[in-house]
Amino acid sequence: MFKIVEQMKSIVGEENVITSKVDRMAYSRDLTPYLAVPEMIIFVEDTNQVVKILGVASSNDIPITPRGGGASFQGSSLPVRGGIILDLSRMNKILEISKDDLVAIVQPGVRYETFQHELERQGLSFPHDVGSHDAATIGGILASDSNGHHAYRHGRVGSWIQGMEVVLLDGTVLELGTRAPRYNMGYNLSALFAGSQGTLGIITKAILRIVPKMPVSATIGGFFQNLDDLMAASHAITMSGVEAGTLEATDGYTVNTISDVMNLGFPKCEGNFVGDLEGFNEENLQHKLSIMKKILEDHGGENVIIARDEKMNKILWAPRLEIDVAIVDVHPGYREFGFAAADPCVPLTKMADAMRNIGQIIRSHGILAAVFCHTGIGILHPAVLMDPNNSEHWNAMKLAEKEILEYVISIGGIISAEHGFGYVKNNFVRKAVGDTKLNLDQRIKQIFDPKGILNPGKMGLDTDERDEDIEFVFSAYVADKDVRE
Amino acid sequence: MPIEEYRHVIMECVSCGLCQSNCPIYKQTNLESNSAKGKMTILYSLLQGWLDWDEVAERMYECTTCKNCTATCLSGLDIAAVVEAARAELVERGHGNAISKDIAKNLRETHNPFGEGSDARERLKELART
Ligand SMILES: Cc1cc2nc3c(=O)[nH]c(=O)nc-3n(C[C@H](O)[C@H](O)[C@H](O)COP(=O)(O)OP(=O)(O)OC[C@H]3O[C@@H](n4cnc5c(N)ncnc54)[C@H](O)[C@@H]3O)c2cc1C
Ligand code: SF4
Ligand code: SF4
Repeated sequence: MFKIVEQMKSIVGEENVITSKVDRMAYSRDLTPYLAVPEMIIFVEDTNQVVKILGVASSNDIPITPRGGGASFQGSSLPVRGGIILDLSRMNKILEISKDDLVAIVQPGVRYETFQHELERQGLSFPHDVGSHDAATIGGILASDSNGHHAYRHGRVGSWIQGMEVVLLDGTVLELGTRAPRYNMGYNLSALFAGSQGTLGIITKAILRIVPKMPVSATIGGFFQNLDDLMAASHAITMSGVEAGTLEATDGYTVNTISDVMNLGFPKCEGNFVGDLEGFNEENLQHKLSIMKKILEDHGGENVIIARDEKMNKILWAPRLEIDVAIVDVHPGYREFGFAAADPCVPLTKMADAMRNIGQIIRSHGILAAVFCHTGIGILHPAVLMDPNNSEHWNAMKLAEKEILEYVISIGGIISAEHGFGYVKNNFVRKAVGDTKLNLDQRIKQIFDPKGILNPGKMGLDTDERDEDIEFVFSAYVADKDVRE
Repeated sequence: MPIEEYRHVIMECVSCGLCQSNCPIYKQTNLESNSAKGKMTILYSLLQGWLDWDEVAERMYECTTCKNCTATCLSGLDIAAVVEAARAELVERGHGNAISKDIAKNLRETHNPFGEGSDARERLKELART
C-alpha cells in the first residue's frame, strides 16, 4: 500500500492524500448504522488527476468510492469494501453561469447551497434543493438523481442535465451533450449516469439547465383531522392547475410532538399540510394563494396559515423539518437512521392509508415513528426514532423495515423512489426489480466497470446481502442474520 | 465534565453533514474531520476505544467554537460544548495544545498573554499619548 500511496501523492500532491487513522475514521459514516473505514482519502482538483487516479486504482484492483458531501441516506458514499475515497469537494468551481443560454457549467464539488446562492444573486435558480442542501454537492446530487423539495414541480434532477463530463475506469473522458437545450442522439447516457451512485464513472463536470428565480413566494399550511381529507385537498390543488412548488404532509404524532416541544400551539390533528408556491408578481401569487386556501378550507383544513416572512415560514415547516431536534428533547439519545424503508412510493390514491399503516407498523414493534409524504408525487418518508444502544429497538427496526416494504409492494407501490438503493437496500433489490432487470443492470455495470471496483457493494449489483463483511457503528446493532421474529 | 458525559450528544449526531457548509474550518480544508460531523465521529471512535487521545487532539483544536454548526445542525446539537469538554480532558491528559500552554504560563508569570513585562504596558501608554 505504501507504494500506491506514494504513486497517488505524485499525481495529486502530498496534501491531497490523507492516510491518518483519525481522518479515515471521520469518513467512515453516513446516516446508516454502518462503519466503513477507507484506506485513504484522495482529493482531486481536475479531470486529468481523476483519470490518473482511476488508472492506478484500476491496475492495482483497489476499490474506489466517489464522494461529494457524504450526505447519503442509504450508505451509497460509504467505502464498504475499503480502498479509496475519491473526495471531489475541492473540485468546486462554478465555471460559468449564462443568463442568455440559461445554463450553468460547474465542477462536481460545488455545494448546492453555494451554487443556488450565486444563481439567486443573478436572479436565477437551480430548483433541486435537497434536504441536505448544506452538505450535498452537484456531483452527489446528479449521481443520486436526487429528488429535491420542489420535485413535485420540477421533477428529478436527471432531466436538468444538458451535458456532462464523465471519467470512465479505463481513462476515457466522455463528453455528453452541450449547452444546446435538448439532445436526442442514441441512448440517453446522461440519464444512465444520473442515479448510478458512482458505480459507472466519475462525474467531473456538468452543464445544467437553470431557470429564472420568481420574484415572490409564499408558504401555506393547514391542519386536518383526517388524512383522507388532506390528500383530497392536495389532489384538488394539483387538479386546479395552480403550479405549487411542493405539497407535503406530516403525520399527527410528529405535528403534535413538535408543537409541544417548540410551544407552537398547533391544533391536535391526524396530519398537517404545507405547500409553497411562487408568482411572477404579487397579484399572480395572491391569485394562486386564494385558490389554494379555499381548497384547503373546503376540504376541512383548520387554521389555514399563509407565511410570507422567514419566521412564519419556519413555524409552518417545523413539523416537516424539526423532528430530529424535537426527538432529542423528548427522548435524549434517540435518533433516526437511514434504513431500507426510508423512501417508498405509492399510488396517489393510497397515500393516506400508507401514512397511517406505515406509522402503525413501526409503532407496533415498540419504537417511535414519524411519517412524512410528498403528497403530489406519492413518496413517503417514514423515520424510525430509536435508541441505538437498545438491541430490542434494532430488532424492531429490522422487522418494521421488512413489513413496510412488503406492505408497500402489496398496495402497488415501489420500495425506493428518492435516495436509491445504496448499500442498505442490497437485500431487497432482487425482489424489488426482478431477476431480468437486475441481470441487465449487472451487464451494464460490467461494460463500464469490468473489474467491479467502482463503488462496489452497492445497488445489489454484486451482492444480495448487507450486514456481511462490514462493521457496525453501534455494538447493540442486530445484524440481519440475528433478527428475531 | 469528562467527555463520557457527552456520549449521548455524540450519539445523537446522525452524520448528515448539514453542519459542513457553514463551518469556517471545514470551508478552508474540505476535510470532513474538520466539520462537526467528523468531530462527532472522531469522538465516538475515541469513546469506543478505536482511537487514542493523542490521535484526536489536533482535530479537536481545529475548531473556533463559533457554533455555526449548531445553527444548521439537523438535531440542534451544541457541538462547541462537546469540543470544549474534549479539550478540557485533553489538557488533563497532557495533550493541551502548545499555544494555550504558553499563554497560560505567560499569564501566570507576567499577567500578560505574550509574556511581556509591565514595562510593555507603560510603553503602550507612552505610545497612546503621542
Ligand atoms: C438530511 C438529509 C436530507 C436529504 N434530503 C434529500 C432530498 O430531499 N432529496 C433527495 O433526493 N435526497 C436527499 N438526501 C440524500 C442525499 O443527501 C442526496 O441524495 C444528495 O444528493 C447527496 O449529495 P452528496 O454530495 O452529499 O453525495 P454523497 O453522499 O457524497 O454521494 C452520493 C452518491 O453519489 C456518488 N457520487 C458523489 N459524487 C460523485 C461524482 N462526482 N461522480 C460520480 N459519483 C458521485 C457517491 O459515490 C454516492 O454513491 C438527504 C440526505 C440527508 C442526510
Ligand atoms: S463550532 Fe467548530 S465545528 Fe462548529 S462550525 Fe464553528 S468551527 Fe466548525
Ligand atoms: S448537522 Fe448535527 S447531526 Fe448532522 S452531522 Fe452535523 S453535528 Fe451531526
